[in-house]
Amino acid sequence: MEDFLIGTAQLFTDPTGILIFVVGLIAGLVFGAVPGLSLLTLGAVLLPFTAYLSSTHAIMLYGVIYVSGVYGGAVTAILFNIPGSVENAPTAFDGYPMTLQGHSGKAIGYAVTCSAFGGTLAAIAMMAFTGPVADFALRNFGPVEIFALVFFGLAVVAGIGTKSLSKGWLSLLVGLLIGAIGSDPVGGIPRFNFGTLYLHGGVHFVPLILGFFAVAEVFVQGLKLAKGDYAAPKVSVSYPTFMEFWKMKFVVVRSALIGFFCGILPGIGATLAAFMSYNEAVRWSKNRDNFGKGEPEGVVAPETANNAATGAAMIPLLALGLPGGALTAMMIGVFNLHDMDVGPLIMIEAHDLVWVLFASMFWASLAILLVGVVEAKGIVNLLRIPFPILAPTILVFATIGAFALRGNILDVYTMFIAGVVGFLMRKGDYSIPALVMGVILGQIGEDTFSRSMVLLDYNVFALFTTPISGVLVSAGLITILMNIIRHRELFGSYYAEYKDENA
Amino acid sequence: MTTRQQKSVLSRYSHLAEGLVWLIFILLAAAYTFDFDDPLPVYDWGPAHWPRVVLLGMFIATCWLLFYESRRRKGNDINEKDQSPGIDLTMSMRARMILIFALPVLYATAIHKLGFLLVTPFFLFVYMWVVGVTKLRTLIIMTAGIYAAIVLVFIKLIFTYLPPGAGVFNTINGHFLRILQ
Repeated sequence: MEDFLIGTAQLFTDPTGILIFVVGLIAGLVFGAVPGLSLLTLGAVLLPFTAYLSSTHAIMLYGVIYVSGVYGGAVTAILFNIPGSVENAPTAFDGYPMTLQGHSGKAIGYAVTCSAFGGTLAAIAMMAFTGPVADFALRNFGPVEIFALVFFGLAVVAGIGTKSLSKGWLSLLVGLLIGAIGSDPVGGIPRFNFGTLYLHGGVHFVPLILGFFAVAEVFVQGLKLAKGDYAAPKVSVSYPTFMEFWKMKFVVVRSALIGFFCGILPGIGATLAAFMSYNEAVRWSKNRDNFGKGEPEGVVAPETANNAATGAAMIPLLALGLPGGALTAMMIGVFNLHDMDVGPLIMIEAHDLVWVLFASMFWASLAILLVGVVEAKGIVNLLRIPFPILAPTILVFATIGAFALRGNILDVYTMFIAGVVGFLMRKGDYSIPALVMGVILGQIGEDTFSRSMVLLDYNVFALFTTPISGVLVSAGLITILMNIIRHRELFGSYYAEYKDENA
Repeated sequence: MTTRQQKSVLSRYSHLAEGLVWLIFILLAAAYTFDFDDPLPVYDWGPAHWPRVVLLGMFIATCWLLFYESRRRKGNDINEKDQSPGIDLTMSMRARMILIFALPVLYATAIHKLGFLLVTPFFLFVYMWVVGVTKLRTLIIMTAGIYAAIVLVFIKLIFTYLPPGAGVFNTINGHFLRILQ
């Protein structure tokens, strides 16, 4: 507590520190919220300039933009179906349908409040439990357990976003196959790259996500407009009531815990957190069938979790020098620019700096609530722009976003191909959430599965021999079985109804 | 046979076509896995194992899809209520629908060859017109406004690298960029 107060005092008694805090907060929100820009763009743009700042200011700036940028990406996911970053993708699954139903204000309200809540809780937990939690996660979560976690996630997600279980599984498996494009994680042997260098490194998430969400959405709405049955989304600035928030208490606490725990796992961090918490929200919800169609829990869960993961991601970063994602990797670059090495000694060698970082992330999470509400009230009005004007703007911004990633025109083509595939899949009642989850979790899944099999001497059943992986794999198998039974029941009732009608 | 009856028959057998597409896709992908089936010294199952398991899963899911959909549609037409009433599309509607898909692909090709800065205003103008903005004044003002915003944010503020075009257009884009900056 004393360290936190000293960190807070250092932060708010230094005019330059306050200025950097405010600039970082606003820049993160804006870059996260503008389609085509992202948190990573901001991080990359700022990186060279941090050499002119003190080490404390530079690291604090990245902590603040990390917190505010992760929330900022939810705004575009909700309003335009364009996730600001990969960890905001599950927010779009239900956030955008809420916008189409005229509940954009509520969706943004849930996102702001839950992002702030998740971030604040994680910041507190980060300060209190950094040591023991990092120790537990790093001792008990090896490739076997991470694979089990991914398997469980995949089992749950196959039932989301479509009435047909077979189509849900097909969507998920196509995602896994897309994730296998590039080179295999063990030997680096090229796979499905059709002899091109472009595909050697795999298909990048960003053009895929822009295509599946933004471009496909423009196509869907554009066709409706051409046919004359387009209905503009209603603009709503009404926020959720206290009682509506109160109903979400279990979702919020569960997602904060998932977010914090996933955030600790190096290399996967906030993305896994957002997707896993969405899966769990589906699994535990009474409104399970409403997911993918505008269920508020589908916004609350990923937004709480991805912000909770920002605090947790600092644990492996600071304790072991392992980044949880691209932005935390940039933070290592910032440390290096200031002749510092992240690792166990950082807590001793740069004790004050670490506590200023913790304090700034805590206050940034709270500040989101204030700044985010003001920003959201204004940005919701973007929905008043007529679709014919919005459509080409979205396409151009998405093109910039896809190209700016690596300066490769093939990413733009990939995005438009993904847009057409996404459009066709939506028309055929396939599940875009399952497809995206397949791509993202598939790469982690294959990597950890290969390493697990080497460790377990190629015995798949040995996955049940460690307690954590045993529980997770069993839960995954039970979920698959339950989904099949549920699907058969649905089919049975439909078939009976159909026979009655035709008798 | 009326158009409606033809649509009904097509709907009745659409799942077979869908299943066939999936099966062909799975077969081709499975055949491709033999291209990278080399053994690995550190991993006995090799690089083709994971994709093959995925493809096996896809095969099972496709069989499941065909089995249930066939049973659902067996012996009768799909319920009339399941079918949308259908809209009679005019030629201009069809043309617009094709352009909605074709223009972005043309745009991607054009920015590669001619450069982002030269092509984008034309794309904004034409796409807005295709999706329903008909007033020339609105088209010009909105195109100019959006283009100015893009230039301000991505070129003046954050110096984003945008497709520069090829050949002579690369030089023209370069000059244009210098003027804008």
